[in-house]
Amino acid sequence: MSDAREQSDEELARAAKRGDAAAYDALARRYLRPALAVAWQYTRRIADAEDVVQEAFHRAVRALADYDDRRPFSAWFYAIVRNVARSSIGRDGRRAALAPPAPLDDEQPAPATADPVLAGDLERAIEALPPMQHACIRLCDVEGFTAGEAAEMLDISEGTVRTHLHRARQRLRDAMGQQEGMLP
Amino acid sequence: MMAELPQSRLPREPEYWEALAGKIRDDAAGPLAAYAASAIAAEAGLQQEAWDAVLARRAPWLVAASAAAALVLWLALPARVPSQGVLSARESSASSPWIERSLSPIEVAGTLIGGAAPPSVDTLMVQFPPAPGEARQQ
Repeated sequence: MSDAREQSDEELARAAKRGDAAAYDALARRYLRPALAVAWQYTRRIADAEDVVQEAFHRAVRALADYDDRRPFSAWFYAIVRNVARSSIGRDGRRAALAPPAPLDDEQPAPATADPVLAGDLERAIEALPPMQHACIRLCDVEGFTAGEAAEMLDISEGTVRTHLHRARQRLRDAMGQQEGMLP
Repeated sequence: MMAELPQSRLPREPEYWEALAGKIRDDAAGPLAAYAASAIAAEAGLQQEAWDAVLARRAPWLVAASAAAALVLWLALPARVPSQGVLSARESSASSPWIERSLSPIEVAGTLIGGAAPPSVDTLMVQFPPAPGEARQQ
């Protein structure tokens, strides 16, 4: 068997369907971080996002026999993550869509800007963005995923992601416009 | 702009990700074992199917050979039945004399129909004596 790092998602999923635990482990490790990032856009709490990710993998491995490996694994898996996340926040009496801005968890790292006041303002400006713009700027500009990856995670087109990114950055510029040299 | 944006809020500690991956791996152990078992069973099924496929591929030849064998047997059968005495005199009744005299039914009928007078009971008794079992019953 070739190195799991060289194998495509679909090849790993095919092997996992035959009971290959190593292939499944490689696939899970590949998708842990993006899955948590997506889940976080819905739950806005790391602990809840972890639960969503575990439940999503729980469902995915049990539905693996039904997965058509001629189709992209990423789209199939992210759909499960989104469904679990929506169910999760629906169960909690919250919104069954991307969550609107919420206060940051205390456990989260401080923003990287040199000026803590500016950093706080920027964080609040990001949190004030509409949900989809917020998700796109978090996934792409903060977490470092590409527009294409974010598009798969959020089940929208790459062009739509770019549009949301453009508008989000414009809003941030407007919000931080008074702060000298803050945004290009 | 990006340098000014907040840092990722996702955990960075390798231990965190290792622990999460471990939980997911443990949770998947049961289903993966079931998949492995069904994959082995499916593979065995494929081997069985391959054996069937070989048989199916040779089926026309097998059918032709069977038909030829049946034809040869059928052609050889008429010559073998009398020599093997399939119908013994004891087992047959009225038709036994015909067979013993090598008379065909048409020849027997001819002797009766072509006679000058209709056959009497005595004539019939002579021509067609009862089988031994029938004689005892009478």
